[in-house]
Amino acid sequence: MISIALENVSKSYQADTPVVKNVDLDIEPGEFVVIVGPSGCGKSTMMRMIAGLERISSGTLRIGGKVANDIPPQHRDIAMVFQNYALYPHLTVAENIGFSLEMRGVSKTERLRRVEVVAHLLQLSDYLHKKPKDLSGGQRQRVAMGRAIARDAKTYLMDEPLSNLDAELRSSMRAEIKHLHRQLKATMIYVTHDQVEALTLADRIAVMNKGVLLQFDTPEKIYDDPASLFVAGFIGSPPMNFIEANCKEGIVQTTKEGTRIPITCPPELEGEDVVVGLRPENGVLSAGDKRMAIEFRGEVMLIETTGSNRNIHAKTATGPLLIVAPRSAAIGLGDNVSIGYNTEDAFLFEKKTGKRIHLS
Amino acid sequence: MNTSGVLLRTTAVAVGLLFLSPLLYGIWISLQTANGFFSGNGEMTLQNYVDAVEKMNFLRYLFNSLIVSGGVTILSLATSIMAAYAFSRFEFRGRDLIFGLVVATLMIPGHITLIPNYLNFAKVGLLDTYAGLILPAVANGFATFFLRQYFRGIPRSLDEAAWMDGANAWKVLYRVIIPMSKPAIYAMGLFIFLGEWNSYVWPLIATDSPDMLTLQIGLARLYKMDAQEGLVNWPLVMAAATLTMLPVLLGFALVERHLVRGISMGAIK
Ligand SMILES: Nc1ncnc2c1ncn2[C@@H]1O[C@H](COP(=O)(O)OP(=O)(O)O)[C@@H](O)[C@H]1O
Ligand SMILES: [Mg+2]
Repeated sequence: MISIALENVSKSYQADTPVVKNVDLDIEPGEFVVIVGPSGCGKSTMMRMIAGLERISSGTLRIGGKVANDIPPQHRDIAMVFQNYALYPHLTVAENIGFSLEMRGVSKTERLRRVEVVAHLLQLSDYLHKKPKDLSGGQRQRVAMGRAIARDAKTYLMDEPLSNLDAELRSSMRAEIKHLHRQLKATMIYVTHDQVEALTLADRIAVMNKGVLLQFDTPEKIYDDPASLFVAGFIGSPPMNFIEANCKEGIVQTTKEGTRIPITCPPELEGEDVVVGLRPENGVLSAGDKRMAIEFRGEVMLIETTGSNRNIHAKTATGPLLIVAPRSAAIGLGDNVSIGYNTEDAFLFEKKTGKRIHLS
Repeated sequence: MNTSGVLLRTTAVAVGLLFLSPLLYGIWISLQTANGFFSGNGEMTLQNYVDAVEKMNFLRYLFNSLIVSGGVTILSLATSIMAAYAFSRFEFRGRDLIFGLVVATLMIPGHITLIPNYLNFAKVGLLDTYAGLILPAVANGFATFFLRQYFRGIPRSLDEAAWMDGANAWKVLYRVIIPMSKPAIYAMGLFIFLGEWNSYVWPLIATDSPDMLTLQIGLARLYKMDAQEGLVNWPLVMAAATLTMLPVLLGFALVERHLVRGISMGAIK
């Protein structure tokens, strides 16, 4: 277990086009941190800088408090699972898993023992003598994982390790990784573009977009208290509804009929465009008038069954609105409905900057 | 098998025989007595092979050729593997310029460097030594270029995985890059070995004493030495030439499976 800290770290591959911008990230020893963000936002670059595979253009990286910018990767005591696995094709599964031990001069008998333990843990015991090309995607993924955990590193980095797996295997591997983290008691940094993975795995989530770290907090805080429009839209499934509105006379207003959003605007936003965010799972659907504080009227356009729930897509005067409703709700296609929200469930953002405005 | 298949095979066999014909003819000659060959009475013998070995100091030349060709192959593979690794994996100032110079050496005909090489080796007293035969061929621009291209095809992430697993630059090279490039290295090695085995001009001018001659030079001397009454003893020369060929065929048989795997490796992936 060791702490990792990035202080004002930036990275440019070409001059003047930074792909990671002034990131500050303080990771506690033993913490499980998930870096999440859309494809191309700089997640892999961040991870590669921590690993030492990419030079840091400016800023400071500290590992265990010590400046680590110039420490070569093999001396950082970091193990990594690569996005494309990067298994050694000429070595068997056992040799792949034991490679890091061999590099450290661990004796052959001890190596074999450790390989067997890891293989057992990852259910690879039957494949130890196969070459990577003879394995399925899921098995390769586990070998990649096994190669990283065969030695006791202080930090483990995982770059989208589950992205190539099917949904079923993904969820079982997710549980496996969480379990591994508890066993290894090591600092873990995990990269994904999948917000569900982030929410289920992380002690803390770092949300990135376009090279900027937008928010770094626990999954609950990120979900309940997103710092910006982007975070609010990115975290949560199905995604948050956004309604464009305007601050007029201290109140959020839309010009559309059948819509009521009685939220007070702070005086400095008078006349500004704002965005109201409403989570689909907080909406209350009724055929008649429920008289909730926030209300939309609309027509049901599409119903998706997700098993326990249904996703109701409604057309309202302010645009499409998605609500998660219990299966029992007696709603049919084409019904005219009223969709209600409590004011406490509404998020307000400044449209220009995407900044969250806290409602008092 | 359909008609076009038959046609294809027949053509292949015919072309193969055409390619082999000088070789087979040579072996055929080597099995005749000198009298039989010149008078055409078809008298057969194996004595030419015995004579070739005894008269020509064959074993000594064979030893020399093996040392020189083997030495050149191993040393030039070693230098070009390391150079190719540096050119394909490390960033350093002037890299592209230096690589350009390495490639530029391919444009210089070997004969142009003969005289300067001779003078330099004479100055440092390396003429008529194994070192003098081996060293000029140890820096191999083509092998460097060829291996660099091959190394570039190996995904970087494998190097990076090895770095993360605790390997240093040397271990990345000999535990990842070299094992993955085996087909290319074997092919290059065979190519270098053959080139050196058949090399003639440099060994001719760089050696002098009978004990330092390579097979090819020895063969050429035999050719002159054994002219009987103005006639070349062709059966003897052909026997010696056949013997000269054998080690190469043997070597090829040994590495062939690696080459074939190398060719098909790109295909299935
Ligand atoms: N080696 C590189 N050279 C130039 N640009 C790169 C390189 N690697 C990544 N990039 C660019 O940096 C940005 C971030 O990439 P990356 O960190 O891989 O994103 P992510 O992992 O979040 O998908 C992308 O725009 C990508 O094109
Ligand atoms: Mg990535």
